[in-house]
Parts: sequence; C-alpha cells; structure tokens
Amino acid sequence: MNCLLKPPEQQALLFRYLAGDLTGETLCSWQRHVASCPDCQHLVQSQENLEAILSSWQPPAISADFDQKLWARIELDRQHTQPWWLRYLSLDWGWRLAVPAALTACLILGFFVLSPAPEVMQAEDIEQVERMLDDLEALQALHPQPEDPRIQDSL
Amino acid sequence: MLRVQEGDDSSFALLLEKYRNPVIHFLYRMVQNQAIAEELAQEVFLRVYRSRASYEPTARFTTWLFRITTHLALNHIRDRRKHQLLTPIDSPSETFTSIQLADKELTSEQRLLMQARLAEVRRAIEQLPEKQRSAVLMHKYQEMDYSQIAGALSCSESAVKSLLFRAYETLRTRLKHFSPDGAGQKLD
Repeated sequence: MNCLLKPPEQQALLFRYLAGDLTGETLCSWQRHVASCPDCQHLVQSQENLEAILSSWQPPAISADFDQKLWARIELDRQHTQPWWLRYLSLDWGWRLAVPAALTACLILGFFVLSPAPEVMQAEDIEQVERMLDDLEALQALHPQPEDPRIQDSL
Repeated sequence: MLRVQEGDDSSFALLLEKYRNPVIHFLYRMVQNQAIAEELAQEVFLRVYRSRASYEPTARFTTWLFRITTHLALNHIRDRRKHQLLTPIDSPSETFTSIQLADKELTSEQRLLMQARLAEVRRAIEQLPEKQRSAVLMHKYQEMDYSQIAGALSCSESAVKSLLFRAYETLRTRLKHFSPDGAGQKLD
C-alpha cells in the first residue's frame, strides 16, 4: 500500500466523497489524490461496487396488521400496569356513569336493609298486659260501681 | 416524543408511522427473518411506549430508538446462538417467490443467479461480528452518522470509525467477485 493517507482517514474521506458531502477545496484535493493514487482508485471502485451490491438487498414488505397488533399489545400492557382507578377512568363514558349509579343504588338498599326496625311488643309484654286487664276485670266484678243516675233518669 | 410523554397517543401513532419501516428493516437485516424482525419491532415500540414517562431528550430520538432496537436484536442473536436454533436465512422458496413477484421479466437463470448473489450478501453480513454488523447496517441502510451510531452502540465515534473500517474491508473482500452491473436489481 503506497497511499500516504492513513486507512481510517482514507475511509472517512471516501465515505464523505461517496455520500456527496465533500465540497470545495476538500473535494478538489481528494479528486487530485485519487487521480494519482492507484490504491485509492481501487478503494473507490471496490467501495462503489460494494455499495451497489448491498443496495440490492431489500427487505420484504411489512405485515399489514403490524400496527393493529402493536396497539392491541399496548392496550393489554396498559391494563396490566395501570392501577384499578386509572383503568376505570379510561373506560367508556357509559360505564363511567353506570358504576356510580350502581353504587348509589347499593347504598340506598343498604340503608333500608340495615336501618333499625320499629319497636314491636314482645310476647312477654303482651301476656303481662292481658294479665293486668284480667285482674282489672276481676276487681270490677268484686266491687261493682254504682249506676250513673243520669242514665237511670233517661230510662 | 415529548407530546407522547404528555399522553398524546396520536403523536405516538406519528412516531410509529415514521420509524416503523426503518426499525423493521434494520431488524430484518440483523436477524434475517421477517417474522422475528416484526416481533422484535413490536417489543421495541412497546418499550418506547412504556418508557415515555421517563424519556429524557438528552440524545436524538433516533439514537435512543436504535439503541433499544440494537440491544433487542443482539440479545435475540445471542439467545438464538445459545439455543443452537440458528435459522438465519428465510426459506429459499420464500426468497424465490418474492424474486418472482418482483421481477417477472427475468429468466429463470437470472433469477437463480440473483438468488445466489442475495444469499451470499446476506451470509457476508451475517458473518460480521455483531457490533460491526450493527454499525454497517445503520451506516449503509439507515444513513446514520458516526455520532448517532456511537450513541446507539454506546461507544465512541472513533470506535465506530474503526468498526466500519474493518466491516467494509471484510465485505469488500468477501464480495469482490460480484460485478457491479449485476447488482443493480432490487432483491426482496
């Protein structure tokens, strides 16, 4: 190799030359150098060949449902990583309204079910009252009340 | 990306639209299998989406994106090597079909020749060491500059220059028997 340029420097200039980035004096001096340097002439030629060969390798078409699959994965990922309340907030409006409505209904129902029932007389109390009435009746039978004179007059 | 960070999904859709093809094409050339390339690309974009909150615009988005992409591709290649499941090149019938669809005017002899040439190009790239391969693919096909490649590969610019120098030298030697006039055809 008789070229005075060091390999990395030579390659850097070569890439810039092939990319069309060399301008002005740099381009002129590079072209002068290549014209007089068989090593660089060979390098330029072989790199141009390589670029053409590599350009011939084109990848196949991308699947039509790539984006769709990705969004589905993102959605799934969101559901797994979000806290429950954020997941709830991301629901449709219909669901967002339905959930508080159901909660309110449950609260109302709970209020009625759990509120204290009106006081009901126990069987013992009823029995006691009945006994007291019987006693009163017995007392009346033993000591009859005088008849009301107004009633007698009317008769 | 900053708008994606603020929760704007439509901006993420724009990013996807812009970078979908470069990422998948890069991955395809790295792993040389379209189905795996698409699967890895899904993982790349999912990671981008997940990291949106912690993203800091210290480097160019492309550099950050290709750092993730390269990392996943290299991991996949290492895993594949580890499990001895090397299936680097798509089935010949698949390649042949795509060539037939792309170039109906070619004779069967020309198609075979192109198929052989394509296989050799792919093999030459596949045989490059991992970092050299990544650097060449980013330089040649993604048109990334030295600093971007250095950022994606987490190394210095001078290391990238050295990687590219060695990689192109190897490729020039391995593919020197190809004539340039036959290389103009685009192969799938």
